[in-house]
Amino acid sequence: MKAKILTPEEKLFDGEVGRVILPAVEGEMCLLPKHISLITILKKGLIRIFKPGSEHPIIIKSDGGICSFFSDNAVIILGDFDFDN
Amino acid sequence: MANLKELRNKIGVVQSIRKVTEAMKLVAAAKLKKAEQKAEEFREYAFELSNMLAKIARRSPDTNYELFFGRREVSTEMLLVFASDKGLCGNFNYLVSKEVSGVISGARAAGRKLHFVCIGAKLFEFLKRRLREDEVIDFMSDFYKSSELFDNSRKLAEKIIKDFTSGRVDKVSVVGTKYISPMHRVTEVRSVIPAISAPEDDTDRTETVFEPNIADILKEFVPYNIGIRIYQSALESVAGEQGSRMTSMDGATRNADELLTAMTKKYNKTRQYNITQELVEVVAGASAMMKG
Repeated sequence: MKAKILTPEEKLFDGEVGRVILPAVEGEMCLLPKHISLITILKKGLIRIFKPGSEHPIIIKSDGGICSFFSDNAVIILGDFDFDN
Repeated sequence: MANLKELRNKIGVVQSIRKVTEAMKLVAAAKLKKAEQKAEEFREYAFELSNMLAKIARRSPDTNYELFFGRREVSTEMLLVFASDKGLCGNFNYLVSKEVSGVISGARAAGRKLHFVCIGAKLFEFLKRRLREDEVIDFMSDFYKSSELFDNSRKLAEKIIKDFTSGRVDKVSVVGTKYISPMHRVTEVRSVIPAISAPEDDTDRTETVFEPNIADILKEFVPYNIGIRIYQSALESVAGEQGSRMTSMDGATRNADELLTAMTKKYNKTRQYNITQELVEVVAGASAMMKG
């Protein structure tokens, strides 16, 4: 499966992964290949990316964001979502 | 034959103008490189966000959320016009103004009132002249300052969301430039509210989980996406402006070079002519004296 992490400033990660652990809004969540399609809001916390066969995660800080997962493709968009409306 | 001194002055003037245009070209090229990189990197971010919205929309056709799906009745349309703050950038602002004119006549033909938001000083007068009595124009000054561009875009987004929810406007569009390459850019009209983009090629028909739920997701990131769209339009506009300035200053420098070659030729010819003339006079004078 693939994962991509984007912020307004730069692309933090793009590549093949084994699994991804996310700070989803309703609790920590682990995305593995063939996971059901989903769109979830992310809260503050740490995103852990495990490359295939590796047990050492790449850790990326999340200040909030949104993640979509369709056909083994995770797209994580980070940003400061607190909007005053 | 023209006066030598006059010609020398003219050459001096062209040379100094050439220096200015060349310097402007170099500055624009440096700024363009940064602006281009920013605009291109940001495109993916904005695209992925819009893509997610489109996917949500496809799976929830009955969601009643005006900020996202728009209003059926549109009586006032807001136009965010992205022009430049500074001139000397070729036909950049002219192309935007042409696009705006088309949108204005389209909206008026459909019986809509317009609310302009002018970003960039260069088109303010143009828009003001086209304003009808019952219409409004806002002007954003110093919007493009790079350190504040993101915050300015978010503030503008907050303002237009307020205008939309209070019913002052029913639709918001951006008229601006899309950057393609230094030589090539296109002007376009993009919808901001409704925020939904054209249906994506989305073949995944499997069941989708939304956390916490569709309504909360939309509420949280549709306003954010409006800010993102405005920011993207601003980045594209800045890159387009610098590209336009660079190519037009390059053209001006080349014209100055041509002019200089022609003028130097003329100057040399005149000089030679004058010397020959003087020689002829000296020779004629000498031979007259010898005869005498």
